[in-house]
Amino acid sequence: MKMKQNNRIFLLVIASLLITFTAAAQAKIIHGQVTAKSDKLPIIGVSVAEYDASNRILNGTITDFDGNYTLRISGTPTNRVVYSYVGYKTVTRTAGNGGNINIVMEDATQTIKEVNVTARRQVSTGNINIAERDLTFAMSKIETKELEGLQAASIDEALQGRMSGVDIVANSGEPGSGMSIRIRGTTSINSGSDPMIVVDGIPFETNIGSDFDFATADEENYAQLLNISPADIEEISVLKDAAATAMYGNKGANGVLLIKTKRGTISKPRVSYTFKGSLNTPADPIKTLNGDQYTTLILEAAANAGNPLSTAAYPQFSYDPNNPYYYYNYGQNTDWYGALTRNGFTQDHNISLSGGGEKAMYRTSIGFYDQDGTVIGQSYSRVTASLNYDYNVSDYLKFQVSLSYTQGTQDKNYTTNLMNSAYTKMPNMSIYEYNTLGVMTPNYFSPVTTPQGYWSSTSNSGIYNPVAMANSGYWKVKSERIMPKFNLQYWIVPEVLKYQVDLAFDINTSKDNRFLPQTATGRLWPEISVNRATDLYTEAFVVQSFNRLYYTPKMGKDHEIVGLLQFNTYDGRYSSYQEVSALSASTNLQDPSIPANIIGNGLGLNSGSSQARTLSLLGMLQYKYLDRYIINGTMRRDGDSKYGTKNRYGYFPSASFRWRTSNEPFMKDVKFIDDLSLRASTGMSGNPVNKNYLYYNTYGTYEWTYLNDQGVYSTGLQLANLRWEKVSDFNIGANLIMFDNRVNMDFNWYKKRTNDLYFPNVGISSATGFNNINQNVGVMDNRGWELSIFTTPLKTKEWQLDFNMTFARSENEVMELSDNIPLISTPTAANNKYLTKIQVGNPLGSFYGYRYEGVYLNEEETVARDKKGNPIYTYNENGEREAVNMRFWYPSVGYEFQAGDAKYADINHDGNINSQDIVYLGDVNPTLTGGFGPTLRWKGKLTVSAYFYYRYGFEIINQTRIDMESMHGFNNQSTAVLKRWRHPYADPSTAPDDLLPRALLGKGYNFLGSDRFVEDGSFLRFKSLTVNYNFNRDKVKRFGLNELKVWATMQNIYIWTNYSGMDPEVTLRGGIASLGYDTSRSGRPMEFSLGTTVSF
Amino acid sequence: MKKLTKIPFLLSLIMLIAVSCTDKDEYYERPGWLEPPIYQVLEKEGRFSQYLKCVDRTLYATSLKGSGLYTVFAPNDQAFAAYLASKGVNSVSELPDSVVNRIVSYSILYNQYPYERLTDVLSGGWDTLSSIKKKTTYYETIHRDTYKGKSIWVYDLSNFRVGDNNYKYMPMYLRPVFERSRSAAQAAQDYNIFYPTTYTGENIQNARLVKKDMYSENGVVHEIDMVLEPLPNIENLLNDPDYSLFKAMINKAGTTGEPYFITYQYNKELTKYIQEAYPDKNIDEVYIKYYSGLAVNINGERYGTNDKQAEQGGYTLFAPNNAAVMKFYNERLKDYFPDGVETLPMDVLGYFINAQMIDELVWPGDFKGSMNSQGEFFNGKGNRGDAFDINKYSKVAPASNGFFYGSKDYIKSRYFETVFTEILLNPAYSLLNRAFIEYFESTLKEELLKCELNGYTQENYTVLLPSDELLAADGFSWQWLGGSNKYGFAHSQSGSSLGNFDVTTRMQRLVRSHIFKRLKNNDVNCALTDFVVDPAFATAYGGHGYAVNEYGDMIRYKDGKVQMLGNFDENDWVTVTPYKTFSNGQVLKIDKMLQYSRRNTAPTEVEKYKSQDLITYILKMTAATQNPNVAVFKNYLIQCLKGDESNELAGISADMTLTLLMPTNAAMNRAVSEGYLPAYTAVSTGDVPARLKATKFILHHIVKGKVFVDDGLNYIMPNREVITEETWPTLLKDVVDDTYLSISKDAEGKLVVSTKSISTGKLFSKIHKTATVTRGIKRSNYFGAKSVMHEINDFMVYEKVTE
Repeated sequence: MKMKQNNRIFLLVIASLLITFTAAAQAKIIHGQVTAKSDKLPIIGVSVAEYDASNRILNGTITDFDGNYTLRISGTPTNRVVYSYVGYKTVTRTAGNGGNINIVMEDATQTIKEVNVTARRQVSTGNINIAERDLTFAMSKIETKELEGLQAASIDEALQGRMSGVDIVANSGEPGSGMSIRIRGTTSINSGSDPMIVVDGIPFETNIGSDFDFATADEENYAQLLNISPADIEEISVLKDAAATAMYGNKGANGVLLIKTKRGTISKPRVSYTFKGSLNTPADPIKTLNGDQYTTLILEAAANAGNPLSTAAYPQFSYDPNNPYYYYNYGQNTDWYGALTRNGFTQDHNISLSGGGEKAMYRTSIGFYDQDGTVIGQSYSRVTASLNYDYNVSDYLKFQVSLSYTQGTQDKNYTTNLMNSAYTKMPNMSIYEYNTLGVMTPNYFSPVTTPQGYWSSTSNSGIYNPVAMANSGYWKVKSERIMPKFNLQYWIVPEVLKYQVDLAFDINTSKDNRFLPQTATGRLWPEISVNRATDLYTEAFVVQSFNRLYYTPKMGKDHEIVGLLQFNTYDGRYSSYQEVSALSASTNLQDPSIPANIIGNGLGLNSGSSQARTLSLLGMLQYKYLDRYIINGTMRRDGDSKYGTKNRYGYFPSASFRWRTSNEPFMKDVKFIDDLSLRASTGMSGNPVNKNYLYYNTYGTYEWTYLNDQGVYSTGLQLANLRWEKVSDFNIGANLIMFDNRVNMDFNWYKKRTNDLYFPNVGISSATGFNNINQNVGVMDNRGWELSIFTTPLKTKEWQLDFNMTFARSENEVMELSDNIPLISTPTAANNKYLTKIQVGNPLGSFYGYRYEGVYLNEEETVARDKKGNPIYTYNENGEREAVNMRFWYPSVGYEFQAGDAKYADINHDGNINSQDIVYLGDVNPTLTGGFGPTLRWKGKLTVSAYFYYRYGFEIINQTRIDMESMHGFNNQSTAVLKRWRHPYADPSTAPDDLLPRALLGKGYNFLGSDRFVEDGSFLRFKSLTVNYNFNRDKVKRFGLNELKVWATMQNIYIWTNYSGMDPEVTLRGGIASLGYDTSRSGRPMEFSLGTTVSF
Repeated sequence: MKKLTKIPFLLSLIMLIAVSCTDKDEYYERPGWLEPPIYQVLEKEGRFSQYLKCVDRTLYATSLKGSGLYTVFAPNDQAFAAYLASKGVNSVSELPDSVVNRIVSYSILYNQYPYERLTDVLSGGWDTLSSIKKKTTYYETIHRDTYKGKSIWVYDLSNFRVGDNNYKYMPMYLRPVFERSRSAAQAAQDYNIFYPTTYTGENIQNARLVKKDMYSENGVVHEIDMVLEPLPNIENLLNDPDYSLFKAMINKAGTTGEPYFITYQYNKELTKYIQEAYPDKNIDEVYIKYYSGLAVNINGERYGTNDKQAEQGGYTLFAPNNAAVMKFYNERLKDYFPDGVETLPMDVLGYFINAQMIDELVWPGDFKGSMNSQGEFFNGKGNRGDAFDINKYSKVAPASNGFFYGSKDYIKSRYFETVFTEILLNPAYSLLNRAFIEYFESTLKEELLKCELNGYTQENYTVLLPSDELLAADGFSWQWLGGSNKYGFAHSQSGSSLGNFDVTTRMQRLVRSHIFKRLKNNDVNCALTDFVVDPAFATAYGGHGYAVNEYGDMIRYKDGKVQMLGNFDENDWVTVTPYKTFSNGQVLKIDKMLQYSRRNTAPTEVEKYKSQDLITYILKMTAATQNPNVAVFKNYLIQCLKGDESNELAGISADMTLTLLMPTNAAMNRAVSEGYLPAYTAVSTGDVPARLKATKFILHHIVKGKVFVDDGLNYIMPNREVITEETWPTLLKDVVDDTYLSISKDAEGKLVVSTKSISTGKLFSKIHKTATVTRGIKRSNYFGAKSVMHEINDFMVYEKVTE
């Protein structure tokens, strides 16, 4: 229904525009014949049109088979009649009073000898085009040409490290996991920190995931940039400071990514075909124990813990040849990772057709993208179609229509942690079940329970057979997205005042089907995890409108003014419907609508919907004097339906200034400087909260009744005083262009202060009936600088070498915080826990823990010692002096360390490792990030470019190592545990240096949060290498081609790092608690792709 | 074209080469210092080629090459050479698969035990110096057996669960444990009784440890000098024609065909498991088999009830050979079961079988002090008995689950050697046996079973045997009791018009009345063997002898005839006939039962089942014709205690056991004259203070709680040891506290009563008085209801001792 309605609106708008063409005048006739100069033959199909003074077409026709034409004209004698045909020079005549006009047309190609184009680059800041050299604010930009050949389904991956101040980090090395983007660091403790994305001037709704839950989702869930084929992108810019983001208001508070897509240009129709194919090989996973080593480990861990596994309780580890069922089913060396991964092939085809004349320009493209994930059961295919159409009605009136349609089909695994399971699954288990004679059957081996645990029907998670899960479980997401956009521009006062209206729709639907087969979990009827099927439908409908007035008065040579007044609206509606059922009669019955059980935890029907609106009014004025002094001021008033009436609207001003020093008279003599500018900007923007309806008091009903009445209770406090998170920004920058554009430097220093920091779940007195509420609680600063240097050290006729570098540093500091926020997580006597503190005056992301000092090699070393190294004594029952062992958290825990246990520094020498021995261990914020890379061009034919990316000076908590070296449970571990302590070393000098603590099943404190797992994460990555060859146009012409390019690219080639984890690129996502934790278990896969572009 | 497409290809190749090994890879590599797995360790050592050849032929090869966590006792090549020679084959390849599998799986132990830990048990932490054996990976699966005449498949388990098999344990004889409780010499001696090899203190079964603690990735290896094969268990060792009779006893089945001591249990889960594992064997049913009702589950390999105990002990069986079984039968049972050894009932078999075993390991060195499962010394006498003598055994062998001593003799059991044996085994006394089971299972029965076998050397019991006939004549029967919903004793007269009495109480009193607990050892002998009076004592009481039975009643006897209160009342005598003598006493047949009431003369009265009132006997004794010497005492007693109408005496109830000490008239008069007793007239005329004082005086002459007889012995009987003096309370109370008198025997065996304890010197009264009984059939040892009356030659007096 909604779709249809939307289409109707769209058609209506177009129709109403067409009506404006009809203008009446007295009719006259003009007629004649058109012939070619070269062969004197008539030309068929020549366009003949009458234009008025503003270049508006009034009437038009085309020549017939004999080159004749007749045109009814308006009668205004000053109007022009224009004859145009592709391949011929356009002829213009005045209309006069009509009559016979014969035309001879010249071949167009022969007239062009040499063209010199001189123009200044213009940059789209989104709303208004301002020459890049006149920008007063911080911005960085990249054109897709520079990215060409990078194999990426979405552009964020391609952008990584290429723009200073933009920190893009993959969430993990797992195939298909997303990336997180931070522009100038994390500004908010918990609220979303992902930047806004704007495509062709319209804010782009980031993808709504199929697991999207309207009740709990935040902007983080929208992270993945989607569905724009990189081939369609012309340019990407990033707005960084508040002055820039002021343009886009509240949502742009975390920075704005501007994406400009390709549009048609005046040319003959050009068909272009691009192909990219790539082979994705599975990444090197963390090496895990094989089944044999694993069994040894588990038995050893149990024995060390004092209770050897009995063969009756754990026949899985007895390797008893007399019991073939267990011997074979639990006697394997299964490579779960290998069984789950494969080489993936990606193909990306894109055909585009573009061209146009002075009046109309078009670009249409069709793309097909298909990727087989490196994990079984994961694939993604996408069909895209887009049309960009520009029509110049006259010099003063034009419109643009863009339409894009995307259909994507994504196959995922039923569980998202499939690879995790592969790393930790018992490797001695078989994939397929062996029968009692030791003969392999085709059935998956999914026992009801394993020593590791089982699949819990209550939480719908747990232990399963990952291969069965990958092959017979599924999660299919089918999504469709239609984005019609409409743009109309009209010069009310030519060259001075322009009115522009944009209307954009975004209709995004997706359908998720999930199925959990019994064969993967082994659970028994009638548990509700058996044959569990989900059908979810979600729909998002967004309408945005922009009304803009541009004011560009002519003020003479020395003055230049650009003004903008904008009013925009946003309305987003979301809804979802879901059914989950279980216990269908057969694994083949996978649709929840088939009669099955819908009563149970997580089963049943549910739906949700929400709506949000924003409004904003923006005024901007830029003034330039003498091409030296440029000042820009903006004021916005934003309104957001997420806030109560009291705080719904906010004013956000900004101002910026640029001084082009190089144009000052005293600099005139410095010839080598082309441009030197100093910039300063300041401004404020508002970051909205990430949830709707917080200012309402919401109610829920109890699930039971009393006297047939259902009770109602309050589910949320009415947060009437919730305020905008206000980000004020101060930026100082400089641009320096030297040596005939061969050195181009851009420097920015900024300070960003976030006031009214938003924090969810702030503890309050439970006397209110609630334990916590969402509040504005504090102030946080982000400071930093960015420097980018683009150089061309070598430039000859045949060779050109470019070398680009970016550097950035970003620091944050918590300035103020409400007393209600727990500043310190309480230290507990538990493994795998680091202490985190939010400390006023310190950055977010510091962590604290114990200091690891290796392993107690023998019993003697476990004796507690004081500062001087003398044993600490106690008195036993008989009053005799007795040396005590090191203890852990005595007296509440009192664990006595034993030989083989991890040894921690006893900072206060009291013989007791407890909270008093916790020290500062590191910080996740890098000292420096950036990238660099050379590009070598030869004769405009061959281009070789390389790109390196680095982050320097930060620490990572290697959670992977904690998990994979803890030797504490039945999960498989990494091969690093082969280095574990196995027997005492009476002579410590005989012990190996790289010894790890002993295995200890379910006991001990061998993996406390300590510096053992905190590592320097600095790295330099050889990110990509691309070779591009452009065939000589003359040569390819012989094959009827206009252009032929081939290229090959490699990504993630090599990494230099001391980090022992799989990959030091650690996600920046998540709350404070998860900052800096590396949970990745496989490295980043190397990708190799080949591609070609053909134009006709 | 061709040339150009090569460029990107070449470039990409170069890129690929650039990618090489990183530090990260190194971190996850196998550390160089880590020992290789067991198999490779053995390979590297070089001396285990034969063993490894065997390993290669089994599925254990995979495990030893890197998996699991084991301790391996690997025999070296020399060991194999000797082994092969003994088997008469040239190479291991000639050994059958089954043998190779046995050797290999038996050489592998679960868990890693370096030498130092071999003697420790790991169970919730290390339990040091307590392990004597370790679990191997070897176990036997199903085998054939016969059940109810049918050949079936059985699994030696008491409870089936996957992975819980009847694993064999490997015995170890390691110095730290083995020599902890015995000297090295003794250890060697004990060891050599079972194994011919030299004891070194580091023996694994019959092998010696050559090289210890070869660490490997998946465990530890110890080199041994002998190929070890799994030991047979006790059940296997019993499968020997020399022990077929004993085995038949263990295997004996009842009339239903269900064995007495073996449980065969069909197990569905197990059957399914076995059927699937051996599809070619065409199995329809599998039973689990274990021994029940025996002290030892002789086919169970796992000792105790948990994994911890399993490593700490074992079983011992002294299996009597066929001759010994026959000897036992002939000596002990033939009288009762003349139809042969096959006819023995289940309980008799149980007592005998359990006597031969213990769920502990009995080392030859410890034989002397060791007891069987019934708490009887294996050698019959404990430490005073004989030490282990190998010549008395025909087959001594180590079993996987303990020791097997094939014996030429049987282990004696108190069930066959004591006075109770007669009650237990003689069908004529089945009611008596039932009464013991019913009322005295853990008390009196246990006492009658006390003998040297279980460490009691001086107990001597005399049992007069009331036959089923006599008990039935009394009215007793063993029948289903509807009210109690069980079998029990009933009595024909209970609940009848003759009066209500408690069947249980009567039966218990009667049984106890027929038992006399006496002492007999090198110094003392007061065994009542024939109820003939010692001539030295005969004159004192006109040829009568006296004794107190287990119940506490006095009896008197003369010339093989016995009399208790009831019999005395009727002037009736029970004739006893000595019947058998056992290690702890003798049993005698009787023609009537001892009675505490007049069973014959008042057949229609309620009194038939009750003894008469005490006053009746007091009057009877003090009658002029009997003993006028104590008439004054009697007068005071009646004056002070007896009411006018009833026969009741104040302060005395029918359930009290009393000894009345009656001062002679002269002594009473002396008491009056000395002021300790008011004049009789004052008492009789109702002078309250006088009466009160007199009452106290009388009460102080009645000892409560025990019957003391003047039996001519120099010590007081019954007692568990020689006692010459006892202190007992009297009926007089000092406010609430008892007052006491000392009762003792003088050198002539005469009963003496005193206000002062001889042994402790403690005075019970300020005034020290001592008196002796006056002997004479009418003067002392006179029957009373649960009482005895004696004439004494002085009075006792109580005056509180204040300190």
